[in-house]
Amino acid sequence: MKYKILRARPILFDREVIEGTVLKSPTPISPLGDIDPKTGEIIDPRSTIKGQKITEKILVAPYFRGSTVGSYVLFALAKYGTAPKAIIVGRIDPMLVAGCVLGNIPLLELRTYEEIPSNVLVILKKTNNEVEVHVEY
Amino acid sequence: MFLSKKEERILEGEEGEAARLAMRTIVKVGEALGASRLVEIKHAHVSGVSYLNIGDPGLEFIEHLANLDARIRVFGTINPLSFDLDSPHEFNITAEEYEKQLRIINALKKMGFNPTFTCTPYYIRKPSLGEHLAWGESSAVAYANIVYGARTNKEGGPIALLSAIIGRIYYSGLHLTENRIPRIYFKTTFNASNTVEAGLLGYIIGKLSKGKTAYLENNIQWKESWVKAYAAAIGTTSDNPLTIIENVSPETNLFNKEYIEDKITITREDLEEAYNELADSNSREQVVFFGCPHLGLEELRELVRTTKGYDKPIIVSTSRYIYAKAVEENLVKKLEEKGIKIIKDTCPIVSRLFKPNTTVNTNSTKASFYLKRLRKVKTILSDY
Repeated sequence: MKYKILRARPILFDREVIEGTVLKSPTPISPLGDIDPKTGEIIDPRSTIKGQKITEKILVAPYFRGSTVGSYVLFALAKYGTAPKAIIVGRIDPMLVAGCVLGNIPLLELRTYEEIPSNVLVILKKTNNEVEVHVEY
Repeated sequence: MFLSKKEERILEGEEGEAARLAMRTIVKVGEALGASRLVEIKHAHVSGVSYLNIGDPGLEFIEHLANLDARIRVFGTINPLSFDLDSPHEFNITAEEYEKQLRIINALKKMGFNPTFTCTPYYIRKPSLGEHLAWGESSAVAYANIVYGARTNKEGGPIALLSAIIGRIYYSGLHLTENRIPRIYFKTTFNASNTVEAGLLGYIIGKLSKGKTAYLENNIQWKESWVKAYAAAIGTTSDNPLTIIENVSPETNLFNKEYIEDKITITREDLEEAYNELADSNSREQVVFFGCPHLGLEELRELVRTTKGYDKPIIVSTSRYIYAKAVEENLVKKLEEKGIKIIKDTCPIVSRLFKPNTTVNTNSTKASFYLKRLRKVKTILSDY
């Protein structure tokens, strides 16, 4: 098994290591309207990952968009036990950061997020100032 | 981010779990935005109060905070609801939606928010030049910055709520003088002469200023309702709603031609193009609506002076604060005699007052923009 290492900026990352399977959304996600917090399912009819669950996944997306109510939706994910293990985005925004604090969801910013393929195993490892994203290939 | 001793203590949980959570969120978002510190605020205004907008996730979070005994540290006001508290049955809501809306209100009241239910918090507490605010509700944010020179970014509902609990917001964006200096200079080949034209001007300038602070040279005889229309409209097209408007804004001294990056002239053709983007001019109106943003006392007085009888229902919305003053002045009775219906606490955008496919004549660019998108209502834009 070989690993490629990408270096991400930790926005919220309190643990040493997180391991999980990637669910990658090629399009931006609006928590309000695109995610059902009760089931953790992607419900955006136009999304190529519609019907898949973000629960316990490492959710990767270009960025988040939409109403600031999205922060409440991310809080609700944690409350219903449907949250992802971590979120990795190409660029962060206030709604996403606030939502991840409220939902206690680790959050990384990675400009080269596109290099992470979907459905692979990744290990997120904290170093001094960054988080290494070990991508299995 | 630099934090004072007191802010550190809040972050460590010494002032309770709600304050800790609020501080952590504001600090993390502030760090993400590159803010160097926090700034104390005088007034927080929270958007995202209608249950139809925030749903169960919003209800649960607001109740979660109230259950943690969150208390706000500054003057706090809140946005409109999904119905008029005195006539909920007219707003097409279910018993469950009604009950959940009341739970949201009760949780916010428990935290110390004033039950204002309006998008015009500046009538309830007038902002002053240079003071810092944390406001949600884009039209109010624009109005506070443009008309009073008060400093607030367009905050999301959750951030405004959390900043009320700690009395602080991150020091970034429009809180800094350097970001208030105009970068894009606008002038017009015409003088806007009614509410619709003023609104469309704001809509266009919001689009063209690309997040930068704008300056508007003009000879317009601005009325309060025109500035409100402008502010509400620029909030729909720009994240930075500050325009320094000649004859309106107190901060024209911030203008310095060396900072101007672009000069743009707006013509009547631009106005027409914006109009066609928003209005469904082929539809026939079924109802007339004024009050986006909520009408002030002067606007209600003007309606009494100018309105004649109409063959269509006319609905106007205002806050319960202004409504009470209008009752004292006998304005409500006079308006009702002219067949005008007044609603309060809510508006057609956050409620189901208008059914989908209804055609509404409004003078509000913002209402036209959102009624179409959120309520599937057709709009005609005119001052009527």
